[in-house]
Amino acid sequence: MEKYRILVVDDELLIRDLLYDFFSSQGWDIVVADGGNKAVQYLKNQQFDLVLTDIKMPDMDGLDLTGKIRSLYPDLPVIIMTGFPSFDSAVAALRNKVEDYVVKPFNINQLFKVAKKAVEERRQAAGVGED
Amino acid sequence: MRTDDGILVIDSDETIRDLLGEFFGAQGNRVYPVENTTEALRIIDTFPTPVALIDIGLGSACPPDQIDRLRQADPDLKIILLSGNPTVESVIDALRMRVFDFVVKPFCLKDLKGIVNRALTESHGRTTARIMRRRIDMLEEMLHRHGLTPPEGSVSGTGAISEGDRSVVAAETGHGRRGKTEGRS
Repeated sequence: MEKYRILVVDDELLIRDLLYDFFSSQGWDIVVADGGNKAVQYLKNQQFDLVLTDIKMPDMDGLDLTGKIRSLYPDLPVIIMTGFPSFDSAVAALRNKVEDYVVKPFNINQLFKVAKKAVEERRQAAGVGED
Repeated sequence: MRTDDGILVIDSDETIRDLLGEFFGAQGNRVYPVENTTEALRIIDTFPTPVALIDIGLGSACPPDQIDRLRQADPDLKIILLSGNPTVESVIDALRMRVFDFVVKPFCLKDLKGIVNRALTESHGRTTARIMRRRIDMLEEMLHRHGLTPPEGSVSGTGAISEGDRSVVAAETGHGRRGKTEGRS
């Protein structure tokens, strides 16, 4: 089975490390970026099955990053993670068709479940088997 | 003529149903204002309604059962929730239910029109295709009941429908009006 490949975008080292360790332990390929600009560079040059992004980052808002992702890859699943949930950002996330909007601190097993469902559904929709 | 611009308005409040019915009717859309999900399902089953406006009133929670039932009837239905008491949690719930948009009341009709038009554009006539297939099945069943069979290669199994067949369908259902609210008493 081909490994799932995800991009984690967060300016907090602790979150990047936590997600790197957890998703790696599940056999996933994981690439981390500490900001939106670096994430866009990675997205232009590499293929991913999923993006997990924070909202509040110094160089680029996670919702702006989601907008850029939508223009590059309309069907690429995005999960928003935020420590500062708000009505406006949730509506913006909904309009950007994100998979989920997860409030920090999150349950990593729950987040993994959501991520797995998103990548499996995308591969199924693309007609890619898991054998 | 486009037949894929139907809008379902689900609201227990007659004033809102009338307001939205008259507004979108004046824009040239077919509008089907209904009071509840049961009535909505009857409309979805019969007429192309790619977009549903659902008023969740002052309740802050999304109606998951209602949305599930509508989605079962039409998986491509674009649902726009209207809420008078929005919370972050209700928007997150809506997002997880793949709702097309979440609009806070009081809303600007011009903005709502923009959202509805985007939803109609994204639906790409899929709902119309589903309804037409269903009507074709019904007509074939009716012909069969009368001991008749459809002309060879005309409709059955081809997924296509001729202009003649469209007239028959329109006559069967009695629907062909536009720019008016329908399904209202």
